[in-house]
Amino acid sequence: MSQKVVCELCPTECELDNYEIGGCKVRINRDGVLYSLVYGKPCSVSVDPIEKKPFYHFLPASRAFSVSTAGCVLGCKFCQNWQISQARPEEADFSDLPPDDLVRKAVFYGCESIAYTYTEPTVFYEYMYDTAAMAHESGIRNVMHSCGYINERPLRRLCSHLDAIDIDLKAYTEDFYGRICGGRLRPVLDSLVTIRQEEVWLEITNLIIPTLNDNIHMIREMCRWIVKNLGPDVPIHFSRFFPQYKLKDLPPTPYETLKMAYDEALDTGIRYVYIGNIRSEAENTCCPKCKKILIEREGYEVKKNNIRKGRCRFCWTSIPGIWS
Amino acid sequence: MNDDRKFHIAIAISSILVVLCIANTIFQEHFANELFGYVKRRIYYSDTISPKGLTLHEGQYWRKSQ
Repeated sequence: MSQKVVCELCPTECELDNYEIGGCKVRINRDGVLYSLVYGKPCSVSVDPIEKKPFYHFLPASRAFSVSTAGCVLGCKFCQNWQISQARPEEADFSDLPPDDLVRKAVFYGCESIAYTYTEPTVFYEYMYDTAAMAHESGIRNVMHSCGYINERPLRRLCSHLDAIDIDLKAYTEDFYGRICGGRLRPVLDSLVTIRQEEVWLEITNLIIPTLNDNIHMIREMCRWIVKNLGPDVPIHFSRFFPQYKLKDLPPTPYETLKMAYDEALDTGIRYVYIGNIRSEAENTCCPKCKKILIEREGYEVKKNNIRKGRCRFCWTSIPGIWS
Repeated sequence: MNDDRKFHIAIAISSILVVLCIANTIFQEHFANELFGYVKRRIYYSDTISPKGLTLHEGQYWRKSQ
């Protein structure tokens, strides 16, 4: 009965008794061996535009075969997908979809990439890793939208099969991560640095929530950290919050707050800044040199693409990203 | 039975009771929770998780606790 194991996948590092399930709800210790309960059991499968992830510098206007299972390593009070992220796998409506079938489906639907998204892909690490390896063999790219709450060793190994990662940097204070998400900021920052070191394409999303993480000084500090540690070419998406889950008492983020963060990020030196979840001109990609619109977007739709061979069509400046 | 013998019997019974009380406290604090917790988790797994068709796939990145 004392066959305890320690899960070393995420920084929480749960110590589990026999038949105990981890905080992520999907990893169980059975007789001294740790098992995943969600391998090949996705609860959400869909074909999405890559812009929805959001990736703005990765194969624009392409389709991503998107998949997720139940569970999450965090417990954010504002989660937009809490119905599945906070569900136990036995409560969720899942289907059987082993990695080879998943890749076949992605090919069938003409998707250029598979996106591990919606909930936290770290919880279905083994499923994602095996699928990503198979997808690469079939010429399909792999992208992940994650909170970045994963230990260094599994992240580095995973990076060998990922082409792009979008990290939700939820705020720039330990207090926010502790109180609102049930995690820590430091491991997320470490993951961001690791991803850059592994040379996987990286974009960052920051959901701005009124009164909780909309302090402009904090946003400035966050942008400075990004420029200093990741460089000015990592795109950042400031996303609009809508009342959800345990934060239904807060209003949606005003456009002015998002614009303020947008201006601050540009002032700090970040070259590619976007505003998401609301229609505005800040959905477009502009050339940092000639300032002309390179990719014109309307929601998830790409209206115009003026990038040729990874360069601005007008002034031939190189634009970082994966374009073909 | 004289008073001296009665006294010794009372002492013996009291000692046994004290030992049983201490044993019960130790058992409840250290073993009962673990045992009942294990039984509860085991039943939940076999009655709820397993019938749902959630097969087990060996995980990566874990170690046995020291």
